[in-house]
Amino acid sequence: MVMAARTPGTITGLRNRLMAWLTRREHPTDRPVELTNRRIYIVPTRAGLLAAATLPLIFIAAVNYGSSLAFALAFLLAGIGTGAMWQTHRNLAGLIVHPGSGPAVFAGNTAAVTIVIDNRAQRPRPAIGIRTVAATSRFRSIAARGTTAVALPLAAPRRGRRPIGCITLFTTFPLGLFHAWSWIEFTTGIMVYPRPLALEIPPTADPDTAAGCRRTATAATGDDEFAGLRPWRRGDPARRIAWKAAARNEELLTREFEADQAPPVILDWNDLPPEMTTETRLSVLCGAVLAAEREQRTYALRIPGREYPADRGPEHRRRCLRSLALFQEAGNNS
Amino acid sequence: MLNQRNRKTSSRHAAVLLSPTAHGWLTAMAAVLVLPHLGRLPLWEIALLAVILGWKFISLGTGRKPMPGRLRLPLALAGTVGLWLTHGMVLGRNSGVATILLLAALKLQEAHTRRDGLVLVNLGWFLIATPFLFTQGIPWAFYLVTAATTVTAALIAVTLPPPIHLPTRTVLRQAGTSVVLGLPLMLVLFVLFPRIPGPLWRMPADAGRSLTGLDGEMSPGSISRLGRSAATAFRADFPEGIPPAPELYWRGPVLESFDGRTWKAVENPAPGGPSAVDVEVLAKSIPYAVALQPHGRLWLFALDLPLTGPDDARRSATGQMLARRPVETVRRDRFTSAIRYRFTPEMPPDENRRFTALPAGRNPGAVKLGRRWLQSGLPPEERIRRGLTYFSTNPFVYTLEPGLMNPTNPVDDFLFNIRRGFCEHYAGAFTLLMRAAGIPARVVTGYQGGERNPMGGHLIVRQLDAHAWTEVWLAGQGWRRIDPTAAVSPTRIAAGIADALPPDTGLPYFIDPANRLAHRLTLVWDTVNSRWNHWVLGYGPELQREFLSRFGIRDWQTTAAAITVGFLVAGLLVAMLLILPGRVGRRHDPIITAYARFCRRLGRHGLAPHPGEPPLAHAHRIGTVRPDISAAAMNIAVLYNRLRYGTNRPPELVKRLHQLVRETTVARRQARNR
Repeated sequence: MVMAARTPGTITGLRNRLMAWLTRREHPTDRPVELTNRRIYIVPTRAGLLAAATLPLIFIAAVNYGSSLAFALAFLLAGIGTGAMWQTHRNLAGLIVHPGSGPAVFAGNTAAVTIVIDNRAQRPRPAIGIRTVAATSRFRSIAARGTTAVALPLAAPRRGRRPIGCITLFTTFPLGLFHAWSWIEFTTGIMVYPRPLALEIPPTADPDTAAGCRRTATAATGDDEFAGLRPWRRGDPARRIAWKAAARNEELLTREFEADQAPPVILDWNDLPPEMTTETRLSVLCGAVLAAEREQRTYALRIPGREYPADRGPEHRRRCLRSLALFQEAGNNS
Repeated sequence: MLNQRNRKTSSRHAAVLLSPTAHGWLTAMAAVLVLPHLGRLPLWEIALLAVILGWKFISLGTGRKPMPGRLRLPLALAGTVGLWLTHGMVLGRNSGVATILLLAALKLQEAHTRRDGLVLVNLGWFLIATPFLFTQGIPWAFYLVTAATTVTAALIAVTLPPPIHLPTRTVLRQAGTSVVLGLPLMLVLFVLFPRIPGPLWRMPADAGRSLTGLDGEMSPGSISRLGRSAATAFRADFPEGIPPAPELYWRGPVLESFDGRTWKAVENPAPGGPSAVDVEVLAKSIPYAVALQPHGRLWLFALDLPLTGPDDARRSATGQMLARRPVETVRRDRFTSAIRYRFTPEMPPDENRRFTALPAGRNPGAVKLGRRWLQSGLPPEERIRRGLTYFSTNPFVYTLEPGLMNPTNPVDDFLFNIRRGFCEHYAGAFTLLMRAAGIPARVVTGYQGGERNPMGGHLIVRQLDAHAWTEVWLAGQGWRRIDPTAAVSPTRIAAGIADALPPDTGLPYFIDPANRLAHRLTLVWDTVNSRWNHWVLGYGPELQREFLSRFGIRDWQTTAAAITVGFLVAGLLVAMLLILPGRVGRRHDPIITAYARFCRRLGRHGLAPHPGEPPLAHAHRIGTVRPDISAAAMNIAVLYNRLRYGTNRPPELVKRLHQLVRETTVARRQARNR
């Protein structure tokens, strides 16, 4: 495996074909995967090859000196090696790997994918390694009937749905003479929002709202004036809950301030300068969504094919960012 | 020095550093591997190893600095010079072991990366074998397992990926498991793996190696020295019964040249030996096998007089069996011997003269006595009888402690003054008298008698059974054995040395029949050792051939074929176990069992899931054809997925699944009724 990485070209091609052949039975999935025997591959490590080279030396010494115990040692070493192959395979077999997930990130950041590994067996699984294609390996020991969660870094350079791709579970435990591994390709992924681009002037052509925007930018820093009560929405900060009023009413009420009642920011794709590319537009809109949230203003989002009426809060934010992330992507089904 | 190169070549992958645990295990491993050699290593090397290992141990325990790198070169140089001074350029067993141990210690001292650790572990594997080149008693089998476990533990500690840490006890238990797992294959390979008759090349002999045993020379005190050693010289199995003790003369080195004090063998015993004409067998020959302990010499011990022996040995002109190589390991050989024989009845006169030669001016008294018998004109037989009578009529004493003899004329001193001696005194003096009396004579050294082990049924011959006797040559009769010791102490020959010596003469405690329990334990231990020697140490090409032929496997090629077929079949079985899905390791999952039961029940109505059909899809399908069980099937599928792939497994859900499976009965012809 290491050899192939050194010389790209023909060998890489061959390697890809070999991988395709090896993994032909393993379709990408969004379900938990049990590492069954036929998913596990095993080869000797460098340490294993070294031990295999030592064995004939002991054998020759045994022949030369006619020493039965030296023969016994050579054969014991062969037995230990064979046993280690079984043990290494067994250390991986039967683990259940749950599809990874993780919080959404903005493009250009590194996502953390959490993979949960489940050990249903009565024996512990020491030194299980796990890695994505690019990331360095993480090691975990899983207790008997235990579960472990591993956070793997996953680079997210572009917006959209980032599938986790192929992850490798591997182990060389106990003796490090054999390397057993299993490839799993999950179709699940993490959401990558566009890289936010904060503009000095908010991306809106409406002069009224633009003025309002500026006004609220200053108002947000000063004291807010109480404006009234409205029903509680998910995401409203606890300090804004009108506890006294809530005690009198059936439902929770949130205190609204003037800033909240400022006219909503209209974030419209078409208001942006026509020379802007699609990706830049998405980035700008993303930045504007974040800014509006920061300022606790309501905002509406209009992009081709989609429109979100003015609102705010984590749910609204998530919906908006998600539609920006998936804009014009295949499989956009939100 | 080595490390810098390592770092450069492995720069692509960052070198993995050894954990403190790994350092600890490697040092423990080195200690275990050095231990058996302490008695053999030169003192300076022991000191050097102690410094390196001790420093390492202390720095590990206290976290203090390891040995500074600038000491490496001086240490390596000192070691090289020391090795050269001790062993010269000879790369034998001792020097080889000393070199590898030194290398391992130096490598340990500078080990930092996992790669260094792996090199050390592999040196360790090899080093386990080194004590077995010297000694292979039963305790060493335990050493083998112990040392293998230690090296395996070191290997575990070295290869464990860095953030993972295992406590010492876990590492040790894991190593023990690995070794135990290796034992069955070891046994199979030990019995079946084709043994090549060694050696592949000649190993230079070590200088100055001394093992207990006869040494091919005889001077006063050289055999009585062995009289205190209870070490086993060899064991013999007689399939047709052990001959009576007076016939058990085990022939060893034959000594012909005498300088007045020491009897020596001729430098190179003439090859070939007596042809068929020279040995005339007068009675039925006796077959037997001898398991000989290593003694570092060429000669094998066979009953007087050997007729046939192993392939790699020949019989010399003096009737000794000589191996092609020194006996360095336990060997088991089959012989046949003639107890009654006529040996070299004709001898050319010049040969004849060699066996009557006497050193000029030494032991004049003895020579004068012999000459008197010669000059009296008696026939040779009568002259021999005169010699024996001299010992039986004068007050000679058979003893392990005769006292010192005059170094110039020891035979005179013995014959006329001291008159106390062990067999070498009697044999030496008698041979000298015979030569002076004109009868060709020589000294034969070897062993006489032995103790029958009632448990093993074999004969134990110990070092204290070492003996020397005389052979005289008579025209027409050839060489005849005359044992002057028998004239002094008939008990020695008839009953063995333990009875012949007066009590409290320092016979080894365990051998003395007076100590009943100890003696019995000795015999038990001897029996165990004998089996060990036969079945383990002596298991070589010959015994393997013999053993395998019981199963109809006659030659090397058939063996190889049998092993190949065996491994192929075993491999196929394993592969089938591994490849067949849903068998290994799944049987006991109650969730799977329950679902399988449900599927089996559906199968009776032709509703089993298609191969590879997931439970939910299957439940959907069932729902369309059998609405009566649609809800149950869906519930079972959802529960199954939840339990099988969920992160936990609540017991009440497991119970519910079982309950659902139990309750869902598939009514016959339900569909037709609708």
